[in-house]
Amino acid sequence: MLNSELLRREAVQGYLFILPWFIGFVVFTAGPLTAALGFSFTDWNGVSPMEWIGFENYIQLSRDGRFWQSLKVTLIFTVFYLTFNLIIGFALALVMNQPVRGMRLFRTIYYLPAVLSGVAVAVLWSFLFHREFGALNWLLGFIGIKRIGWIVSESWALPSIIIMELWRVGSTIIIFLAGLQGIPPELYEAAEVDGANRRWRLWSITIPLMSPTIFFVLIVGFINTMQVFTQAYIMTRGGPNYATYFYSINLYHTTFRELRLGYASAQAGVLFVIIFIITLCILWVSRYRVNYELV
Amino acid sequence: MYRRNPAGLSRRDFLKSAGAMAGGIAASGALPFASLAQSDMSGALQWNTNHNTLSVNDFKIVIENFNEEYPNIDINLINSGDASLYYTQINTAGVGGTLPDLFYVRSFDAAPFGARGWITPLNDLMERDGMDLSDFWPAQVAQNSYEGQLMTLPYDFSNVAIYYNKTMFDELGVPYPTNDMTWDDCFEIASAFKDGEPGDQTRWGLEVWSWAWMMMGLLHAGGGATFDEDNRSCVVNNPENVATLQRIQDEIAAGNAVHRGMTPAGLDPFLTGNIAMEVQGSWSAFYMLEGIGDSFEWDIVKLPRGSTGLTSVSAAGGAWGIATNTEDLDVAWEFCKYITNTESTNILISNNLRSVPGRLSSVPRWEEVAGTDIWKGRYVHVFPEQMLNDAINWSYPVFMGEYDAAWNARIIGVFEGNDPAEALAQIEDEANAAAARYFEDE
Repeated sequence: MLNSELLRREAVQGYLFILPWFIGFVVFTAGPLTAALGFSFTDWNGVSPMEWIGFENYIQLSRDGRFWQSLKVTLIFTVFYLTFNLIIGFALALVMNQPVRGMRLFRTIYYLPAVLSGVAVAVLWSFLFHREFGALNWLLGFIGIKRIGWIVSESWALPSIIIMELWRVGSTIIIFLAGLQGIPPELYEAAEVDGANRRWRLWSITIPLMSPTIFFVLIVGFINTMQVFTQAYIMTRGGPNYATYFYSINLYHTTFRELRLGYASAQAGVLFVIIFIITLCILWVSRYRVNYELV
Repeated sequence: MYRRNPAGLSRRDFLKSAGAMAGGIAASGALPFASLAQSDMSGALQWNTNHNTLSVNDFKIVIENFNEEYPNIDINLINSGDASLYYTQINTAGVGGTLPDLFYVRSFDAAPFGARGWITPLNDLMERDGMDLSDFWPAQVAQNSYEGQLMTLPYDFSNVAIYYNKTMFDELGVPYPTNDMTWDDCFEIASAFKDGEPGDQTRWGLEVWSWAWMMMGLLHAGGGATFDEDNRSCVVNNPENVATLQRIQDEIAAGNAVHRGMTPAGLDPFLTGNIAMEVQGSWSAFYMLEGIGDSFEWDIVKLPRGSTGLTSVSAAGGAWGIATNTEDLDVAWEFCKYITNTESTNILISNNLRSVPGRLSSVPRWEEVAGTDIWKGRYVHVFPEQMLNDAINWSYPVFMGEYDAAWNARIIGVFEGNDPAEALAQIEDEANAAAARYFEDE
């Protein structure tokens, strides 16, 4: 009896503790999400009365060139950025995991860009990328490469933003470093005794044991890159010629410039579905590729 | 056909009439500043602006002056320096019905904001208080109106001219640009400043900005229209405009000109002496004065004439709109009138030549300041003169924001070598798709 009373009180206290979060979730997340889903079936500019138009917004999206361009730009960015971010981040983390004197200083230096605000980074790189006055072209000039119109050229603008984002690989390195330092050293010692060389130890011990960390970086990175906005908006405003017109920029324009709130809600809904489905696919693949047993 | 200055006034005539107008209006006591008695009107207003620190300081002075006459009205000034942030705030507040009582509205926004019912039509209030429109620029009245109603009271009215670095001209022995030059002459002069090969040079003859509203004037000077006469559709894709853009592209490719818009923030190649001439606005005169200092000598000339023989200056300005959701229209109107009267306009615009004042009766003060020693006889008078003689009395369509977005997305590509005809066709399509959304219910 006493035990059951204690359990009940504990349950009530538990619910009371999570109540503030739950209220916040309903008011600021679940509520707006549900409302946006409803708005996506309407023609509404926030001023005139809302008009129910069924799936018209979604049908219109399928014919909207700007929508497809923004989706294409975002997916290209996501694929290239995530791939390079994982490879470079992992490689640098391996290097920085070595017991070398002064390594803490290097770790700090590499992590510094990650703590800068997106706007500051974009403005800084606008200078570096400048065709005539930028340091990047100045350096390339020493090896005979002609000046590149990094952010004014249709073909270079997106790669420029990928390069800029990769400069902030420090946060990925930190996560990988944490994972690497969690691998028991005995495993390497045992492998060494068995005659395994460095490459073999990397493939057979490090990568399998790091797979949960790699998977985490992949999932979080994917969700974030699909919503990238600030850097492109500051540097190129989506140009030139829509070459860096990310999904979020299109969403922003539709919402705040054109005030097509119903249509923008449909765009947001489609983005949600895309992220959701691809995340499910990554999760499904992870069942066969991620090794949790030794962690 | 768009009208130019219908009266065809000379500068002398204009100054006389503007001076007489200011004196007459002040003497008649029609303006609030003529009254020194304190008002017992009370209330609180939120005033949102989108300006730099210097202008904000002037706003505070005007608020202090206002409070001497209206001690019971509290004004809460909120400035957002970043234009993008400001308009996001305004659009969000507009949708939410929480717009500030009084806020900054550009020429391009008067019609769309009016169409959305966000700003209060002013005709009845003006009629009630015996105000007329004769002290405002006719072109700005047209731009600030929607469906026959004046929607905002003018603050400033801007146009563009050519700023040039006299020291660079002297060093190379190149004759200065003149007020009657054509774009051909201008590019010819610009070619003298090219150093090295395109893509590998750090000095250019001319810098061109890509603002959609400003480029409308350049296109018009080349014989091309941007919108139809009713402002209901975009017609920017025409052979004349293709030829104008092709010409600019060719000059950029040849290294005679360079475009701005995607250069790093904070770097001004005219101020650093990398550009001999720059197409720049009336709002920049004071900025140039402060920024250049004694670094080099500079002056201003008229915008060149296009292939039609016309200069065709596009003008646009800023104004103040009263939100329809304001809880105290009378107080907001009183403050709106006050900050746009001649005395306040002198403080806000003419005393420091921030741009061309929105009131004609403030122009004498503007001219007086322009004639002082700090301006060293520079031809800043070009801006009101162009406004009188070369400005096109056009207003902007309700879909100007969408046109602007479509233009900005494509124009840098055109400057960098994309096909102008293809780009203009795409801009026209996108703008007309937006226009259709505005007019679909009619």
